[in-house]
Amino acid sequence: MLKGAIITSSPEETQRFGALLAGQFVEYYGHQPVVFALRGELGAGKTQFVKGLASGLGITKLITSPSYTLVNEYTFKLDGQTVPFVHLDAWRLPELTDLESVGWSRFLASQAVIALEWAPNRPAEVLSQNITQIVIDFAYGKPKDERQLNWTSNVELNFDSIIEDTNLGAKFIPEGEKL
Amino acid sequence: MKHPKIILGIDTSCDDTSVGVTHERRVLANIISSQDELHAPWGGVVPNLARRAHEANFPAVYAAALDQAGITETDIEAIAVTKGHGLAIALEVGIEQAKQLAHRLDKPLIAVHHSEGHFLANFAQDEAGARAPIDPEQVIFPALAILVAGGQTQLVQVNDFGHYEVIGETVDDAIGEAFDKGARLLGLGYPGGAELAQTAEQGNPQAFQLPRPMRQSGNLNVSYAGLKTALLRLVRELQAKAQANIDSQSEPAELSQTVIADLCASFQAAAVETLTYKVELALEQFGYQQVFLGGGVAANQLLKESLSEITKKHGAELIFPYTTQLCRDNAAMIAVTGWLKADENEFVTNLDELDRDPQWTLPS
Repeated sequence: MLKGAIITSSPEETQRFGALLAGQFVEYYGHQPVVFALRGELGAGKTQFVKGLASGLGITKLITSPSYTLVNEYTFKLDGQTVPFVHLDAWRLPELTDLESVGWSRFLASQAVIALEWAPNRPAEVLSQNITQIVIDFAYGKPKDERQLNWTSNVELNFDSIIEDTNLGAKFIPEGEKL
Repeated sequence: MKHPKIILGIDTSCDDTSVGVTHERRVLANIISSQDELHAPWGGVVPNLARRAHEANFPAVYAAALDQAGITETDIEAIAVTKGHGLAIALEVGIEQAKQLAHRLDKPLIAVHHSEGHFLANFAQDEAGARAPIDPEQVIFPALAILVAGGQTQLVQVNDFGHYEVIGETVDDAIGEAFDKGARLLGLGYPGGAELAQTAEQGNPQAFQLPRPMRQSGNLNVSYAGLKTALLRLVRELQAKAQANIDSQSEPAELSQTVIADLCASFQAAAVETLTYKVELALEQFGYQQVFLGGGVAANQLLKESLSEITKKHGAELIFPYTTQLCRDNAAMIAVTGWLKADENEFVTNLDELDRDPQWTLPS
């Protein structure tokens, strides 16, 4: 599957989705960089998602906002290998080429897992399609804590396990169906 | 080695280029060149712009610091520079300058943690050796240090100078970041945190109900992400209501000055109480006798007043630097910290190996 959407009804569900999605890319970790590109407004749940993603990777360190330092670096272990996890806030980078200034090439070369937070109006196409990636758009729902997450990935994913996860109260919307 | 007394401090941890000169704890110069205007169009610090501005500003800031201190280069006895926490490519500029100076002047270099600098700013004296709120000998350990800034919100137990234990911190956004983002949501511009506090003075802090998260967390951590989201929702609701009340469909309704002021006041109250609640818990739990305040948000009047009340209630003393200049990012605090570290012989032994550490944690 390359496209889809999900509705979460609380920050905890958004975290849970992040943790489950972390499991979808395990085969790539440590062998090639994987980018989770997250677009959405302030408070739309991007950092919540990253908290979940990190916990899914087995990172126990506190994940805090990268807004000030722009980049927070962590590591996790996979099959005895240490893999970097990079949390990047690109909200304020005028051009995505400015990613270079915060170490983008170095992160890619180190086969890092990268959570990249973007402003909502950034085009998704700027990331090279050679990089394994999933772009997720976060939007506010009508009820207070509801968020809609639309994703596009350039690798096949199997969402059955996520749908079956009873801990995730999220609604799953297959591609093409209206909300 | 002779204990250096005249210290040159350098801080380029974020968007201010600062050079300070101290004689022991006496601040002879503290020059800060702000880049606020440069970053304003982007609503936050842009790393590449910050680096270029640091590089461009440094020579003039350095010259101004020497001039104000009334010294020449040859009077400098040691150089102290911020190694972290901060913005990597901004930190690099200060470190590079510090290394070059240390080489050229053949003087020792001291690497300083930015947050430790905010704490030790409390010991800075004015030029005449007066006005320091406290002397190092008067500290009763363990003490509590509250570090509140754009990139940091921590409750730190100070076991001794150089020995710290983080007992509480933000799990997401820093308090200064919350103020700046709140200001952005309310259209107050960048950086906006101070503007928000100023606008709040005209508002009613009880006008709107905003959450005080993490009260039941059972620890001393705080959270500001939820407050930011709650403010965003509230602003949207109010805008929708205002829109419904006007006939014109073409122009979006703007919130009145009164409503904005009330929003600022309510937001500030929630942001401050979120932190002071945990400070009070810490005082109850650990019975600290001294509470030190540091960081840019230490300039916030409501925070100072609330902390003053709480510390008084618990028989503790609230201590903050003698001028707000020493609360914001500045290099005099780095020089004072350098002087104390020189006393412990904590010099950089290999200049080439010194590298920035953006996520450096306080030494334990």
